[in-house]
Amino acid sequence: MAFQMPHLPDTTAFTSWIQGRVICDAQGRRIGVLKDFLVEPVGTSLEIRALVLKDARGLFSVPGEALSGLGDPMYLRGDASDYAHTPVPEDDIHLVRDVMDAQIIDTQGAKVIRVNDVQLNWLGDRLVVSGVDIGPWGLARRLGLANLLAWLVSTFHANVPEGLVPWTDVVPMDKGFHHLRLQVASQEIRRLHPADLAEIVAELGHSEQQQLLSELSIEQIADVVENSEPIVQVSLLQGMEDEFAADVLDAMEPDEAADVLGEMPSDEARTLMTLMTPDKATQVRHLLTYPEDSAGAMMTTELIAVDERLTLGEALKAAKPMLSDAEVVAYFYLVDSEHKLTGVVSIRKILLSDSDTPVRDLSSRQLYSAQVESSRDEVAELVSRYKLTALPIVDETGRLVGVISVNDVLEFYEAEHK
Amino acid sequence: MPPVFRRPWINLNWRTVMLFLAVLGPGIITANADNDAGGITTYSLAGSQFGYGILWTLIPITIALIVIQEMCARMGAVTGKGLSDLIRENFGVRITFFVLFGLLLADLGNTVAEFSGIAASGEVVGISKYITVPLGAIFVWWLIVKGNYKTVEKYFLAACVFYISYVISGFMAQPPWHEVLKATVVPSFSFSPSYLSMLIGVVGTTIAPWMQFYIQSAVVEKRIKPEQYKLSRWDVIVGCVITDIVAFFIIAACAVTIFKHGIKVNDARDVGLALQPLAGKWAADLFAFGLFNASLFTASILPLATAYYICEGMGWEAGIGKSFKEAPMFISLYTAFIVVGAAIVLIPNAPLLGIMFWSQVANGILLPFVLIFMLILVNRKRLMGSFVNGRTFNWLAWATTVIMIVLTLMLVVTSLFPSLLPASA
Repeated sequence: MAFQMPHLPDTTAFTSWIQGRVICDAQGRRIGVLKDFLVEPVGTSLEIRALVLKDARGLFSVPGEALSGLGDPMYLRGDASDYAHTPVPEDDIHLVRDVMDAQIIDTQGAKVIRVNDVQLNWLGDRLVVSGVDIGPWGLARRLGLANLLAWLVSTFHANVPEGLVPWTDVVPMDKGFHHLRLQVASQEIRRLHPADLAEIVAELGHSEQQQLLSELSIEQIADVVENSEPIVQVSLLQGMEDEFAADVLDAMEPDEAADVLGEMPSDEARTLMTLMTPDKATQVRHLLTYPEDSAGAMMTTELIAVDERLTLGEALKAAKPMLSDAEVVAYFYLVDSEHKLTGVVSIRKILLSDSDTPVRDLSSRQLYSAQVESSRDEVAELVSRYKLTALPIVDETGRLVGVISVNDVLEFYEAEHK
Repeated sequence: MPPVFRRPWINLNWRTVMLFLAVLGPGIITANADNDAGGITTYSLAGSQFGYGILWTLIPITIALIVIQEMCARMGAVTGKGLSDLIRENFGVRITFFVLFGLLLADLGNTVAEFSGIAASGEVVGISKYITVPLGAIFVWWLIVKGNYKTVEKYFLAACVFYISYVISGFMAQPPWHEVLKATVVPSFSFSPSYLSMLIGVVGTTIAPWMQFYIQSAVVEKRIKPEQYKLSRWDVIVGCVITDIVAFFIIAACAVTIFKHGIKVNDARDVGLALQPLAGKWAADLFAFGLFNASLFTASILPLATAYYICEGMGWEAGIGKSFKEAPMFISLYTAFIVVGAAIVLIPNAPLLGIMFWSQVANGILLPFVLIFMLILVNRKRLMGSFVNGRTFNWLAWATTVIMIVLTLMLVVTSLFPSLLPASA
């Protein structure tokens, strides 16, 4: 008993179905067997430009617009003699060779998946790639087991999902041939969260990694590096030109940059630090002097510190240049003339108070801080016990040198439990 | 090229050492995983049944192992992709499916072998398999699911060190070294069917398909780049040499004791028990401990690794931290490997020998395909760029592959039709 495959209109087809079909001319004379498609990105879509056929003399291509339908056999318009034995350009994108079985990024699901099958659709008179199949149906079709899967599903009333992703949600990663670059899709990539991007980057091969990173800005690359595991961080930076790696480090939070540099071989790290902006390099160098598990090594130096003698209005003006880089904006830290930590003002107080109030009057009653030599556990203990968003760090003389955010603490715990 | 690799021996500070260790590793871990329960059993039987007669094969085997593993490590470093990824992308899903299905069958058998190795080592020192095997299975599961990266790495490194127990047993057995060394470099040959099948067995157990997948993935996971590849190549070479040094000591120890006294042994448990009166309780205990360590070590790697390759190649979600809902195939495969692997050993009258036999056949059928795919891939310019095989190396690689294919086909044929061997002798 043969199971009927779900019927699809003639305007759509899966590559796995039609690959291998006989191609005839309008008179029904056999021209060859369909082997592959040559495709070309046009705007957001991937258009079929030509068919790759095979006959007794070998491979040749015929223009895509000659195709009159997706039946079996498939017919071309005109006469067999219209189709000269045109050689197939090796460097063009081949749908089966280059896209089938390749890794792609599903920008909606934010993950790396493999192409099991490709869906084609007539768009007016053009045949385009409309979607990729990443699910069990595509796999079953490719393996010639679609009937078996359909039978299993109908017999056991199982729910097997479709697994079709529209082409517009997909960023194809080439198999190392460097010609599948699609400008439109890369906008989708830029919209992904750095944490998702970091996970995606970790799953890709070397050339795909480079391809993906080349779509991103320096700031985005810095975010991706910050969100990656230490071993990936080092490998990403080592894969870049030194000057570029230094730019990426400049764009990172100093504490994160210090962590990465700490993981690298020391002379490589030194080279990169000489290429960084002197200001950032000094901060990083300073952070690197703290022992690995100390608050000093964990903290970032970019924070908002204002003179305790100012009014709120003056303080806000003074804080403005620090705001863009500060990792923690929940607190303004108050310092005296020697940069000693004297108080802390929460963002709530800042938003609720008049601009002529002296900031000292807004300072919270309790002031928690840790020393640069404090251990990570002590920091975590303070942050969790007093429910702080961030904890200021002071040196042995009480001068404010950095801040540890609750995110840094979480990151540390996550790494511990992995 | 990162500056550190220019003169690694001059700038040997702590971080460089760490980096060196970071690059060194995949080869050595693969090598140790290679000396698993099946390997140790085969080597000890080879020594027990043929004395020093098999020793000379270790040098050619080492060369073949280096040639094959080096190519995988190189592909991992250059492409940053695993072997199943590359097969899928270059040969399509159908071939990938059959290769991975073969790997599944072969590795399930291999996992059974690891758990029966755990059982055998316990029985040498008098602990029931109903205690050792479940504990081993729980440990393996716990290590991967609950342990973090640091614990796993510490355990793996410790396990690698414990392989030294075989070297110690080898010395304790006090073989006549000049005779042993002579037998190692001077080939001797016999056309007796049992000798031939042992020879094929030794080659087959040393060069198993799953290791090619393993070493390539390990190189990828270590994020080794083409620039660092020179260091990595040494790691492969050192690893392969270590594998066969361990094999050498096992064969020598069994040859000087069990073979010399003409005791008949059929499996690893027999070997351990036979060593007791001959080489002393310590040597036997060390042997059992080594076997236990090796079996547990590979049992920790194999289910996880196989589940990874299959999911990688088929495009299914994989990862230890993922839930069943996120990665159903991965979790199912991984769990099934451990549960089925351990259960088969514990079921009374389970067809243990039959399973091992079929897994050996699956391994043997798979190997030619894997080797040929590897050679095609490693020679693809657009994949490997300037890292394709050199001409001489390519000759060596193809020669190795052809010899391996002939030997494994012989293994498969003689396993399936044992009657053929006496007839041909």
